Amino acid sequence: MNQRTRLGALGLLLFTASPLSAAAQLSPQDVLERIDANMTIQTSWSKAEMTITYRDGDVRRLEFDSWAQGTDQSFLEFTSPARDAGSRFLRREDAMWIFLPRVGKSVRIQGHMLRQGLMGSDFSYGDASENPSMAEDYEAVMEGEETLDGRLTYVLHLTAMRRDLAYPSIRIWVDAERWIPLKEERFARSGKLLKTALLSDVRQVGDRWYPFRVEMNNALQTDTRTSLQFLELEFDVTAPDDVFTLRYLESGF
Amino acid sequence: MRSTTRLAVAACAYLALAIVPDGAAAQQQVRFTGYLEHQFATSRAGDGWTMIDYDRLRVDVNARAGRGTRASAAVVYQLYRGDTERDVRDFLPDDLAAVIGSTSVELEDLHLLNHAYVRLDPGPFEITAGKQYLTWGAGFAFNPTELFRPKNLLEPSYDREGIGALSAKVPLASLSDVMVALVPEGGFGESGKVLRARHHVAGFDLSALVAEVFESPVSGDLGTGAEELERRFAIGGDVSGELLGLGVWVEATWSNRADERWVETTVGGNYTLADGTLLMLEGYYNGRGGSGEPYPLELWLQRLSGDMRSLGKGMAYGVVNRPFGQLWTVGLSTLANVSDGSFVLIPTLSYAFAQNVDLVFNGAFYVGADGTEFGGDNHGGFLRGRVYF
Repeated sequence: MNQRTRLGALGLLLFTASPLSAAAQLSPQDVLERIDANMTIQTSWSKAEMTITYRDGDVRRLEFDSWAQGTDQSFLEFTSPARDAGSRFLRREDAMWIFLPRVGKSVRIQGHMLRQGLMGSDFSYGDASENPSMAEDYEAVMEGEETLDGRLTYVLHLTAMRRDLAYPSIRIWVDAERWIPLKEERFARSGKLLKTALLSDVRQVGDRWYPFRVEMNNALQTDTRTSLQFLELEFDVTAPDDVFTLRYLESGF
Repeated sequence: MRSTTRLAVAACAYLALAIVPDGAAAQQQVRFTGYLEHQFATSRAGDGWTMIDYDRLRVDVNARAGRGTRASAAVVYQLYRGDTERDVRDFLPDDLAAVIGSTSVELEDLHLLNHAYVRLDPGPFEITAGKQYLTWGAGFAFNPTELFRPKNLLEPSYDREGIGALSAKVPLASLSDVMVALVPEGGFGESGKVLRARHHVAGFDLSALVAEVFESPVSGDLGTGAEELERRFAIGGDVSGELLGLGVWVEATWSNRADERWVETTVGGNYTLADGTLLMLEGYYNGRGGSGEPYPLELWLQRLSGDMRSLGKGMAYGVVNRPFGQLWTVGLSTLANVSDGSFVLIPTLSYAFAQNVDLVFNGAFYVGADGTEFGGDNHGGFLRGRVYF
């Protein structure tokens, strides 16, 4: 098991500050390795708010706490609103479970169910749980350079090398100085655009930079957009011994 | 439940609270949540339509008294209005209804603790004492390994109710554990006992169960049968995982009660399309079920009481569920008795009206000849609103 974490809220992105002016000399795969290297940590704890905005202006907010460890273990518990409070998720490697508090039972979420929206948001269960290694799981082609929000980015087109990943191809805009994706376009196998993620509110946490905000737009469901904002975020904290277990999922402590 | 056994469970609950370290009080977190639900339901009965509505208030309290100790309870008040008294004959085939006298059953208001338990985790194991959920099994509608409080097959995902028990769970690994439970019913010898182990390996969840429970099955002597406890011994298990991109599960038990031995098996699969549409199909074999109509009165009464999950030997449950935007979900499910060819269609429309408000419409349309499981013309439906707080 890989003990590093490419942490992110709901599969979001984490990185360390690593300015590298010689980036242009790197191969696309080198860029992915640099992202992976900068975005991996041991453990993290976060409190975050997810905001779903509907076309008619209605806004709904959800809050959750989450733990993550390595690339393949995460735990998430919704704390509000009342409708969803107490719902918990556990991911271990490629398996995921949800705990339904009013039924008192944990249920396995199968691979195909990862396409469903998480708590009615534009983030899918797959977005929430999948945290692949960029360099190991994708093949990259450099498409050029662009300026995004005033920052130089490298545009890469990634093709998944595993069939079980939620998105067969992704286009990413990588900050050429901080080595974080600032934008992602996620495509279906047919080439159809499924989702666009915009990462912003980049802050320094210790010796790392991290995007505290992600906005997800679902091209198939245009009546909503969902943003995720970290309220608190800690890296390299000691996770409770059993937080990534089915027993904890069902007990909640 | 015999008082001595109840006392033992209560004592364990008290003990669990009593050994919380003093400093834990300062860390105590208490959370109140709940909902208020109103449902209006109508269904066809005889030549007319009945109307029943209810108000249901549920308040959940969850308290964490420091790491390793938790108390959880939920109070439910449910008040019915309308045609709350029904004649059992309305649910029976004409020929059976003709030979029994009028027997009414009444929906009584509920004032209960849905669950109320204390859970203590001293480290190497976890103890739960009180009314708790003993729900498990990979099946969606049919769970042969669940031995307490059967699901409502017309709405399998609705709230469940706990059962008074003392249980302990011992972790063997992060995704493996062994659970033992004692369900007081009379003295120790007549109490339910369950041993269940589960493991995750090669992408699949596996569990195995051995249980001894005591049940009082309904007899065919309507209103005169003495409720004698009968010992039931059951062994079973389930497997769930993913195969060729499909979610798949199998769940089965073998049971022995009095002179009767039978097998129950559930096999199911599901798949989600790219647009979020969920497709699910589940088959259920009930060794106690009849091979087709006419079913004897005893079987009907056991089915109505929940002692039997189906009248026939073979059942199928199917679901198509599609979200429209993030607020609307349209679904169609069906329960079918493959032994006699009858089925019920259940269209569902749900709307997330506001952050903490759900509206649900659910219909039930029965198709089949008189005497078949779903052959009555008790068509109906309900409209339900739920506000969470």
